Amino acid sequence: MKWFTALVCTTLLLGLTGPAARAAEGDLQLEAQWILGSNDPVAKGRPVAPEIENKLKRLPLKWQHYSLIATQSFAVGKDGAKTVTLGQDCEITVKNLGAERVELTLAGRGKITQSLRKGQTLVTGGNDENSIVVLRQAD
Amino acid sequence: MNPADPLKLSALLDGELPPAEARDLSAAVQRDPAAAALLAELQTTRQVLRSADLPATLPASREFYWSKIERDIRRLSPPTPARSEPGLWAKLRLLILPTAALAALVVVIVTGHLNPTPAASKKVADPDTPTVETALASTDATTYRDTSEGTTLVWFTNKKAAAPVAGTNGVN
Repeated sequence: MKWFTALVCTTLLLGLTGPAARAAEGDLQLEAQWILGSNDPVAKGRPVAPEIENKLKRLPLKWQHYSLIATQSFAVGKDGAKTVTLGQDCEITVKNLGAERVELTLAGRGKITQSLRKGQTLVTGGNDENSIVVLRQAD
Repeated sequence: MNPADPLKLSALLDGELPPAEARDLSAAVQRDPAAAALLAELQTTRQVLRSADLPATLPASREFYWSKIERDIRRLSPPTPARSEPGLWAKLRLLILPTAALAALVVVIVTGHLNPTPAASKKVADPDTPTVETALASTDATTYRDTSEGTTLVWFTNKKAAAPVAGTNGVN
């Protein structure tokens, strides 16, 4: 009998606290960077932060050098979306799905949905350009 | 009548003889020195016993004394909970709670196992695995994850341009 009561209480507790915990999650403070990859050591833009550069160099990308063209910090509320134009032909839309999950839409290319906790980095780009978009939670 | 009969003399001392017999025995004792000596000895013994036998008195009446002990026993022993007949709510609760728990369990198991959505399965498997949708049918996506750095790379590629032409794809 006692374990039945405990089971019911646990079920009710999870049912009640789960939505409350999700509702308590606030906005996501995000940072999007537009980076160009190059094999030319002479950088066109500003240098990329060493932390980001190290992450990029570990990825199977063909470039050896990276330069920062634009960066934007922005907040997206839960279930909200934000469109950010980082430059010409570089527009992204970020939707906050809650529970530190985002949906990143790269205009004209596609949509990525995944978790984006602090410390996680989402890198995307494509086609015949050396344009790279880096999205992460702002420090 | 034998005046030296100890029982008769003792009865005389205790005043248990009829008056006539007591009178006759007293007269006989006065005439018989042995009986008089025995009577004197009995009187002395009686006095000695009375003086040596201290009266025992209780500080309270017997009933009050035992009732006090009974109260102390009740006070020191833990009270036993009274077993009353369970009420209607208690009886219903005995049925409702297990039934509700079993029903919830069955619902969770049935909905979780018989109707799993692909997204839910993926989320349970690995919440960090990205879900990728391409904007165009002609676009392909390559995913690479660096779990130690927490980095995910999703590279969109035009299938036509993804032909083995050097330098058209950012991914090695």
